[in-house]
Amino acid sequence: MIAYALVLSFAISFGFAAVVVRHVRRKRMNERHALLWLGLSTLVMLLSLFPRLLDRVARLLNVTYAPSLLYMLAILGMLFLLLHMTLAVSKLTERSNRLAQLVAIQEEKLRRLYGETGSRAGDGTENRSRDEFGNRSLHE
Amino acid sequence: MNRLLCPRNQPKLLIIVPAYNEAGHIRRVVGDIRRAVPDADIAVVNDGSTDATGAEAALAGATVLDLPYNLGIGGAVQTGFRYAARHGYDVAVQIDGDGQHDPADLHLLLDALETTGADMAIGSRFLEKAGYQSTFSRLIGIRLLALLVSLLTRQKATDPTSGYRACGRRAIALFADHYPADYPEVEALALMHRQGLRFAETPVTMKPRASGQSSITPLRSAYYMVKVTLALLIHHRLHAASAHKPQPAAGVETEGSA
Repeated sequence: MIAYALVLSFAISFGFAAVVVRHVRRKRMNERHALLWLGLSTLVMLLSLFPRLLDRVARLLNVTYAPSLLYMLAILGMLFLLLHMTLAVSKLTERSNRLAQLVAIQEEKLRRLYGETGSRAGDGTENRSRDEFGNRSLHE
Repeated sequence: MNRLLCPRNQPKLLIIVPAYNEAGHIRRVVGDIRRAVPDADIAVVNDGSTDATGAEAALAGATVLDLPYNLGIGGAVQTGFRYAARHGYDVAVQIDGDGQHDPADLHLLLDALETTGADMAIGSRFLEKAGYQSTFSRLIGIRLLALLVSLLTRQKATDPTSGYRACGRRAIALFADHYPADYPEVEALALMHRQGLRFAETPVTMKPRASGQSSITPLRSAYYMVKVTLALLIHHRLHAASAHKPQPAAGVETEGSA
């Protein structure tokens, strides 16, 4: 019974790692995030291959029911990953906000530039030269 | 910044009007502002509206900053501050696009900014208790936040949620880089305090909103209070050391109660 469970958990985590690698190869996941997932699945694979490792660690930590240690590790691992993802999302939001604001400002600038050269070309060049040499002409 | 790209002479005053789906009213709002302060530049920040808000604002003669998608009030107003910082404006005033803020009161804010030497002048509807005073439950929330802000910043604040405010150069520079994302008004005051900037209040009258929905529905009120309070406390805690030092500038009464 236990052996089947171990084979199953090994198979699942191996399959999981394979999926992650596939996504990285197809450039759908960046290596930084992939490392986290690969680390997690490697850990589960190791524990499946060497179940006594879990028992030994459980005994060390005074955990009487070894599998519960596995649950705890799994939950902690996922919590860590979720925290990591939340931080990543916050950062991306901040960046996309910044980008949107810059786009709005640049677009207005472009509109103004093209509007000038399009409908009031004379005005535009006049303004430019006045602005560029504005200080000098003031003093003269 | 390339001078070729901003061919206008350096104007002094920018009015920032955040607008989301206000096509029906934005022209009137821009027109009212234009009449109250003819020399000011008006930048309507179109926060990803799905209606013709941007086009209507342009027809009214405003500079339109079209956000490609909805950022919420904080992100929209910050766009205006970024624009103001880039183009070297001396004063930026936020006026909401829903008609709550009376442009006729603009000069009160500008005067307060100048006479108090503060970095920001806030239009408070509670200093003279005139005009629209909000609903009872909201008043309780505003009182609580006012108390908290007054304690944290060591400056008397009566209307910390007021969005009607004029910012000087230092505040513009600060907000161009850092501005809270949602429900930004209260947090912005704490942010200013941490950077050593001061605000001053001046009495204004507000109208009930003419259009659109308040971003703060009854359901979101609880979230609003918790979020703003937590944000104030979390950020304050990080800077507790500097806040406990006596700051002579912060103790000065700068309320424009003239």
